[in-house]
Amino acid sequence: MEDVLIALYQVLVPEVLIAISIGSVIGIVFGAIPGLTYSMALALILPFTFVMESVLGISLLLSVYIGGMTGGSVSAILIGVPGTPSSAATVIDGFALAKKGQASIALGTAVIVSTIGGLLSLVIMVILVDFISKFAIRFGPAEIFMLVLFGFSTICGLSEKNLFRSLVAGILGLMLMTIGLDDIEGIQRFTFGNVNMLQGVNLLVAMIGLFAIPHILEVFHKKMNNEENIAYDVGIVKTKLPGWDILKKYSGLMLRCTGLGTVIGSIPGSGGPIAAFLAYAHAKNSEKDPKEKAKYGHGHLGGVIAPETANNAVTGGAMVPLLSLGIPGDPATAIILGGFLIHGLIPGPMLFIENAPIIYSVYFAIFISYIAVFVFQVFSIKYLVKILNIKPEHLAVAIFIMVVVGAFTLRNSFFDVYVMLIMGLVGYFFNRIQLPVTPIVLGMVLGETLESNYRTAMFLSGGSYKIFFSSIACVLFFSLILLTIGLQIQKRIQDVKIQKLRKANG
Amino acid sequence: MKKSNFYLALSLGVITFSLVWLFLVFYSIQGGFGEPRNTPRTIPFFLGICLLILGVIFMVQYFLSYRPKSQMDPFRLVEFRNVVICIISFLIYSYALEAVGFLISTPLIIFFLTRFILKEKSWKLNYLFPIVMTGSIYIIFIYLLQSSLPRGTIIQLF
Repeated sequence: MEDVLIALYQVLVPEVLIAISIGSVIGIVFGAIPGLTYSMALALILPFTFVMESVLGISLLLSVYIGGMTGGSVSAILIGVPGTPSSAATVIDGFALAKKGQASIALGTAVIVSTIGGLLSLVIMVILVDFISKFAIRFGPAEIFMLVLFGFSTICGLSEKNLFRSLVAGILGLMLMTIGLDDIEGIQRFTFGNVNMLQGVNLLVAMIGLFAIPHILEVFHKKMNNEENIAYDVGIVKTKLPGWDILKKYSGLMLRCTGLGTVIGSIPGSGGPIAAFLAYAHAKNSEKDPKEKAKYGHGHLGGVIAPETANNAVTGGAMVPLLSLGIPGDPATAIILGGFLIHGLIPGPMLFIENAPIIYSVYFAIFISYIAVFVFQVFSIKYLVKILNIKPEHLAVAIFIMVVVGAFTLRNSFFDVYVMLIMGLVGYFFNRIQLPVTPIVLGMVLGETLESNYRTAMFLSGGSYKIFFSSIACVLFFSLILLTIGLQIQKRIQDVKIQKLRKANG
Repeated sequence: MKKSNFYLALSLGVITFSLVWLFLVFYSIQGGFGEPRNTPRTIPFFLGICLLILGVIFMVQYFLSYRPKSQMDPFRLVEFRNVVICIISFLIYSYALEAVGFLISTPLIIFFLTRFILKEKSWKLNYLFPIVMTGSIYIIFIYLLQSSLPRGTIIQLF
């Protein structure tokens, strides 16, 4: 109880409340502008948190994350372009409602169900995090290695369309983390005699480059090529909250979509888009009235409620593996993990013992963030959407300056600025050849834990691989890895069959 | 780029990279103490092998004509030129930041980007935007966050 009160005291100070408000607005804005992502916003904000106190910095990051997840629905409804991949499912009925002149009620409904979904998932998260961390505290290096390997397999398997290309990217991320001094023996790896290389590739610098620079290059290239970067004029916008009767009517759907979103969010590598589309399909399929069912796709409120509840419930779910096991589920939580790490906090079961107030602060920060996002979306949406009028190339210039300065201030090192630019170029090239960059980030995040636990386990076992099958948890994780790979292979075979059938049918 | 050529290029790229990586694993990392399965080379070696296998898989996909879901726009010379110009501008800014500091290099690069790269004609964007942007970042980092910004090695000499 004392820890809870300490956490409450830490969060309810003006600095944190102001940071949450600013973060919420930044998140909504980045979420609402197509092309900009909340992952990019998080990467840009991260250097600012470096000089802040831990609770202040982490609260700022969380509010950006939550604002971004909610803000995606704004452009999805108003202009039919999803601000974030998570809001792609909202476009189907949200934009159809806007075309019918019901944009205000669609926006209001999206805002309120996002808040409800997020807050309910927070409750589930609190229960699950506590339970899993109590279980995970008994894990030794072998179990952690197998767990991280499982996390890696799900990330590469589920997150992208092509398993092999995702694996290439994931392995490159793991490779990047081996550059520098070896953690256990202090031996130099791939440093080529350069002193700066001893500290390796900084995860945060790489993330800033991978998320921000490709976007900047793309916008500049379009402009230089005389292609128009689209700015959107959405006119006057209002948010109208739905009545109690509507909320009551859809309460069952909201609860089911919250559960769905939380579960999917807690699986590393799945995330918002999958949850939103599954929830949309569930809402449509569970509609018993044929007339109502026929309205889906042509402007049905259920088509906004289901995906928006589910994608916001993902935020709570995604925090479960992050806080309880130290495994991020998506790029956004990977950056938030980076925020923890730069303050010397290592998420996982030990954090509950060593720094319990931080965990409770996270819970309170998420709660307040949802309230702040709700307030801003309801009362200032007409001002916030004005940012959609800004030309992307002007935003790109501002973002470029921010990323360079941000990369420098992380360690006051120009080497980091050059690394950031190189990673940005890699990101751009990967985007162009359709290799996903998300697994690179997740490989970098998991790389150090993977290697250090592998090597510690091997030291403990005297070089025997049997240690990786010596406990129930190890066998369980190994079975899950095999299952994930098996499912992927099955999917590949199905794809081949479908392709052959299509070819045969001309 | 045709789908088939893409898979051939991808497989050759991945195989070449993994072979270079494996070469570096043995020639640039000293062997450490401990078991052979547990040295600083172990994980990098394993990763190199995994990447090599993936390269071979892409090659097999190319020869078996199984190429899933890939339709990319071809690289054009103009895109290459534009990206190179941008990267050179970014590098110049980074060097300038190091040499003359944030307050001098930032308004200049913003002016350069808006005026010559983006070809903006509005005086507000060309002259006011660089000053406002530089000033805002300076105030945020120096006064609000009490952090530091590059002061410039040349400037510091005087």
